[in-house]
Amino acid sequence: MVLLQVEKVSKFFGGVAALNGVDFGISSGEIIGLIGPNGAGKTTLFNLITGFIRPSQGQVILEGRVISHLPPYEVASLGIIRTYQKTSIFPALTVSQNISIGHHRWSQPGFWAALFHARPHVEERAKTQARVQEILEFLEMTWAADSTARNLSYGDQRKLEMAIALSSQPKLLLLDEPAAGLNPEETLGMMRIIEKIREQGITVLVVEHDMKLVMGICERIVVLNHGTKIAEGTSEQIQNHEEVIKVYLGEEDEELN
Amino acid sequence: MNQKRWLFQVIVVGFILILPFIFQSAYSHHILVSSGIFILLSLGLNLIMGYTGQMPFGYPLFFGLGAYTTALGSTLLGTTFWHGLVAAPIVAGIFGFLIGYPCLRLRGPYFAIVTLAFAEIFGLILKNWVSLTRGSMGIPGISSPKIVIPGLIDFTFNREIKWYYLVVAICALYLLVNRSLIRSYVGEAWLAIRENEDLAEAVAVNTFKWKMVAFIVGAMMGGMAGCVYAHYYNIVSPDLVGLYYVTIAFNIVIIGGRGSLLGPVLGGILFTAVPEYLRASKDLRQVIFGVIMLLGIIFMPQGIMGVVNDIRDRWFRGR
Repeated sequence: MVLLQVEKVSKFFGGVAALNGVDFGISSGEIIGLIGPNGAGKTTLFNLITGFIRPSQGQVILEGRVISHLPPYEVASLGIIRTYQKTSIFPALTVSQNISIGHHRWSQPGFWAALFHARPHVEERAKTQARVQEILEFLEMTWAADSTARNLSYGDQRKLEMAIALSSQPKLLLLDEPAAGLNPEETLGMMRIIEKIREQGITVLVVEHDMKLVMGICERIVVLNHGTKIAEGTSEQIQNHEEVIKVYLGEEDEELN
Repeated sequence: MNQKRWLFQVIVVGFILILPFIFQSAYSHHILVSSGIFILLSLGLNLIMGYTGQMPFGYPLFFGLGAYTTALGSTLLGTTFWHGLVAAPIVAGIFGFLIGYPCLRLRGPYFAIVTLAFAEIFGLILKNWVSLTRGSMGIPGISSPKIVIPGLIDFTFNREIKWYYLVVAICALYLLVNRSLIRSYVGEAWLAIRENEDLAEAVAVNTFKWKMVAFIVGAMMGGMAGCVYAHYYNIVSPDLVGLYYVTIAFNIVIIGGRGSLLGPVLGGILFTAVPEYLRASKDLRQVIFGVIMLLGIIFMPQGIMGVVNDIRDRWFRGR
């Protein structure tokens, strides 16, 4: 079943085409990798799917509904949750509070219920607390529950980002370079987490430069270059794709031959 | 630990209630009341600035709106303080909505400056619409609050010590509302916006809506503070929306501790009561005060409440 369809999407910044007629679909339950050299348009595509920018042409469709005109919080309410390339957390709040905010889309009893701490609000808070506990256990972060987020190590902050995203129980999780800056051991840990997330039935689209991670967990890979899709297929197909090799390693120099 | 905390709270409440009997002069009562009014103003500002992280430089606009609403009502229509206490926050809240709607789509300094522009416009209207507001002369003769039940009670708030308890009661109401909101999911959404607006939006927090809510609630609190001001001093003037009140309110929140419930209370006391006791000479007072502020910002970025929290952690949890 197609969960998300990106239909001939283009985005122009002035005269520059950051994306040019990009076209692909994501099926429920898949892990899809999105790769390409720097400046290929991967982050632009992320911003576009999540509503932070609007496409110049084309549209994004979630379960048969056009979502490319919605503001980011509404896209998120529909279950598309993203993480950021640079670590993005709520620094001055505790780890529990961070995760609790992630659960916001499920728990909005309204202003008056909040002001008077009425029963719907109290019940929602209890549910949120239970969810936070669940996530903390799932990611083995219970020890950090009351720590201030900014005091965590870099690796743990990246894990906390995943925790915030997971707490919202997304349909589609977009991960923007989850392994950036992690050491090999932490990267393995991140791969395990992504696989565990998939086991929960969450579809994942991951942008990553770490090829070991991409080739290791992605069932299908989309390759972007200069805003256009140049290849799509399994990791084997991609590794042997002529144009992909050209993009990543450069063309053979004729004079040398 | 809970018992210790309970005892502590009882002592604090008791202290607040007997305070006017420790400092007995009408002059010290006046200082307490005026710092109380500043505390009311700052408690509203703290929701917008401390919790939601927006910088509304034009915030005293709502203070002025509330004050002028009740001043005009009192002098033209003969309404009382109690009418004003309801009308002022409603008027300020409506303007909060009208001003917040365009302004809150802007971020950071743009938001700060556009709200300041609105306050300036309002100030100019107050100065120039002489037939209604008497311009810079202000509106005098605003009535003092009364509680009258025919044949039973005839009580007028005409002395500072009576005002002290009235202001303490309104402060308590503000603190209850603030505490309730801050501890709810609304407060959590506000903190999320302050800490990382993009991430908040990415996890389905309707940042514009919650910024609006903070802005309107803050505006209403500012309006009510203006009403209290007008009936206490019995006069209002366009100075209320001027730079003086912006500076004081922001200083109180910053020095007291942004984003802490009681920060504005401590800041308000420090900023109005302490300077009165530093009256070596008027000029020197300003200098001492500036130095305190500088040192405060450098050494206590979290304000007084930051320091208080550190001490409390050591006291109650024991390190």
